[in-house]
Amino acid sequence: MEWALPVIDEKKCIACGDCVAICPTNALGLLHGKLVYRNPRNCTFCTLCEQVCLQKAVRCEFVITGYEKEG
Amino acid sequence: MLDQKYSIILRETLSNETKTFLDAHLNRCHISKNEQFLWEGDPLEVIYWVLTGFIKVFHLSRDGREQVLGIIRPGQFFNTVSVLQHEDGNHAHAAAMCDSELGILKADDFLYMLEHFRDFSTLILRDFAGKLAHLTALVEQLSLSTTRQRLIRFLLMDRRADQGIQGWTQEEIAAQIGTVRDVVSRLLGMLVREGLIKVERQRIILVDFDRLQREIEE
Repeated sequence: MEWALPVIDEKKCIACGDCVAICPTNALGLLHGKLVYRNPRNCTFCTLCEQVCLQKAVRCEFVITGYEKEG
Repeated sequence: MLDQKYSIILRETLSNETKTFLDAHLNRCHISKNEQFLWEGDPLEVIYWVLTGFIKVFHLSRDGREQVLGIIRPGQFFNTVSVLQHEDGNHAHAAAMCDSELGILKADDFLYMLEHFRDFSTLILRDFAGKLAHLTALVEQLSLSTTRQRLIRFLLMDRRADQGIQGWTQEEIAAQIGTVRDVVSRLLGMLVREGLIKVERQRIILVDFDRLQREIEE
């Protein structure tokens, strides 16, 4: 299954570092003044980065799906 | 040729005369996902016809909170209210929820078509009727349903509906159901603890359809 990550809008991102600071798993980082995924596999999709971003540059999108009840 | 450009228009029973006028006056543009292309208050110049994709029409409060007025789907129009009410500026903001194609008609051409092409006027009336029905249902839900019920209804409807919109942020879900993001987050947590849904990374999985359905019918 594809490892879903929050979507970063580079046009809106000002690389303030707030999301890097708040990320509990060090998934995000700043490289040459740009926001990047330092450890993408660490991301738990907790959505803290989206909540803290004042520029609304980070989007944590949920897809609603379903499966039949087991048993 | 209109046939090749605007297949959605062909689905409508418009006369050849109407289609010829549209071919000459309807322009087309591509909007990328999350791109905002309409700003509330800016000079009103055109109306939009969604050909493909989904458009979010919204207000912004002073503190930046988004109030989604509606999701405009293929075949639907928007910015028509402002033109018909002879307002100077756009009524709301608009942004694409996914890559979208829009038909653009100048306000004057739109008014001309309403006056001279009865089938087009009927199309616009049907569009308004659909929106009115949607808003009436929304008012009823806000009056009679709890926030939890509105969230469950949203989850159930999105699961069944056209999957053209790829995903929803919690803030967008909150805007759709008339609440704030924190409440959505708490309610989702409650539904997980009760075994009604599961949240696995970016997927909200509806586990117990029967119980979810019963809850919104209460």
